[in-house]
Amino acid sequence: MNSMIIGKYVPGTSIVHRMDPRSKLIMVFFYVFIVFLANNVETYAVLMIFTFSLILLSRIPLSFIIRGLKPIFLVILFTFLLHLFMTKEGELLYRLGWFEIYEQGVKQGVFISLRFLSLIIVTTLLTLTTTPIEVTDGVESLLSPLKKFNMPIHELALMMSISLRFIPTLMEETDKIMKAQTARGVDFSGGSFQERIKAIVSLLVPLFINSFKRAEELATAMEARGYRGGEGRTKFRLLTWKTADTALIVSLILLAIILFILRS
Amino acid sequence: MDIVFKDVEHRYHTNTPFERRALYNMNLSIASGSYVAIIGHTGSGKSTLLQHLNGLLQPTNGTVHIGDQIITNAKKPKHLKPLRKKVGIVFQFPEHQLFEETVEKDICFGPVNFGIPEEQAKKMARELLPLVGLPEEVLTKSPFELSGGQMRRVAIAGVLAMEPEVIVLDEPTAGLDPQGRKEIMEMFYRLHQEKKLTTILVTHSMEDAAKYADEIVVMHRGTVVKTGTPKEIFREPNTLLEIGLDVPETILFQKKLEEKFGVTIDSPCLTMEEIVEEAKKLFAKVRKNDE
Ligand SMILES: Nc1ncnc2c1ncn2[C@@H]1O[C@H](COP(=O)(O)OP(=O)(O)OP(=O)(O)O)[C@@H](O)[C@H]1O
Ligand SMILES: [Mg+2]
Repeated sequence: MNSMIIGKYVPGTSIVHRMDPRSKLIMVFFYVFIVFLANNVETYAVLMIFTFSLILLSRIPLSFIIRGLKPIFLVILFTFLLHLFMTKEGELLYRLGWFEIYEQGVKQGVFISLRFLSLIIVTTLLTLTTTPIEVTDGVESLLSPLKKFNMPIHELALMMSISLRFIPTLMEETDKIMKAQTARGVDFSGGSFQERIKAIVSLLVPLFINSFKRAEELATAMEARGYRGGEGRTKFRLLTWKTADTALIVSLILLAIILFILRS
Repeated sequence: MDIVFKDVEHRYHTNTPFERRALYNMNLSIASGSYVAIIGHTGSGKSTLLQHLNGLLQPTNGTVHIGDQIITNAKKPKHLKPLRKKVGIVFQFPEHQLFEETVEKDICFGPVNFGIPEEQAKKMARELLPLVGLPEEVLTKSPFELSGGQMRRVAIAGVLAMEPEVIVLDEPTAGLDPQGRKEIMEMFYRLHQEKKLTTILVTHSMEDAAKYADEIVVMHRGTVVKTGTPKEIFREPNTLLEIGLDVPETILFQKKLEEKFGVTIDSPCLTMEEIVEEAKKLFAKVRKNDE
């Protein structure tokens, strides 16, 4: 559980860390669509080069990312196998009884897995290099035009930052309660169906109760410190758009153009 | 069950940018039936140490012997359940582990998990309530209706009901009122004496450490800097003060006395009675010299 890195922030001073959260958010948002432009070997190669350049620039060890994404690899493997067995196009490569593997199956499997991997890595890089506070500031700033239509953008951003802020706390607490219950004889890794249910209940009940308590305390503390909502509230951190941010957006546009030209 | 730590090291989040060494060079032995207090600044690794006592954490290096069970960094040991029954841990803020509908069920949760028949567990719950200072009416209440201090007592009863041979206490009285603190500490001390329960207490109260422990282990930044009887430990209060720890009030008073009168008192005074006795002697001597 501790090795899971989705949503975690790794402090650093790389160029990616110092970028404006808005440019990173825009990048991730459009990347999700751009990825679908890839449909052949060349385009997927370009996609992979782009992904790994980003990792290099962020100076986060590749091994750390790979280890942190281990649980995701299972999902990717599953998708790969699904495509491998279900696609029945192209040349027949292998047959064992009813079990057949086609050329297109292999291709589709690899492509979809790469697409998935690239998406996960790029979105994970966003959170790895951007503090939750920056992410929410970015979101709030990007969505602020919607305030004109009476959308509660500030409130949404606040909700988001609070949830992000409490993910590590919740993980820590899960760990703590699991340990406490293990010490009382609960076995979280085995046992009969009934025992498992009981184990999960012994974890979830304290977890929920503590979360509700914490939410209440947080609300009280915010009120006590004079929080009255977003109206007229100034910012402690101001976002600044730098050359690197423009460069990121430009490279994203270039990526899209290259993919568009190379795709078949 | 004797407990021996040999060159134990523990790192959290190994091989990640978050890697952090919480324990190193830990050598420690705790004899069966003794009362050991572990003191140390916040973050010095006390809770990490405790979690090695029943295999919740494995050392990243070195070995932990608990009775005849040996825990190393090799693959996850199986069959830890018997060990966990023998070593009961009362965690920091144990009230956060309560979850059953009634206090009775929650107290019985541990023992039933360890295979003690339900009837016997219920009987034990009934017997434990007065021991931890709760009225019998609470048995049928929900643990969440109780006050924080009462929840703490229920959690403690839940661990005692497992009938462990070793009881590990991580600041069991933090946040309780002075009266409640004293009751709980006295209760653990009685259990220790009556049932020869090996007791390991993590505490920030130097008074408690001095009063109850046979041996004190001083931790600093992830390792043991000193072990000894309370008298040995508090004989040199300066070492403790240097690493940011307190010493009992009586020791501080003794130090002031010694400085003021330019004398040394042979043995460190850990109780009010001792220091009063020494002060009386000293004043008598001073008066005599004046005459
Ligand atoms: N689950 C964890 N993950 C990462 N680091 C941890 C974890 N638990 C503890 N640590 C780190 O290990 C070190 C020792 O922590 P530990 O909880 O053992 O201290 P402690 O002596 O019990 O402190 P306290 O008196 O505050 O309870 C600390 O630096 C802490 O930040
Ligand atoms: Mg602790």
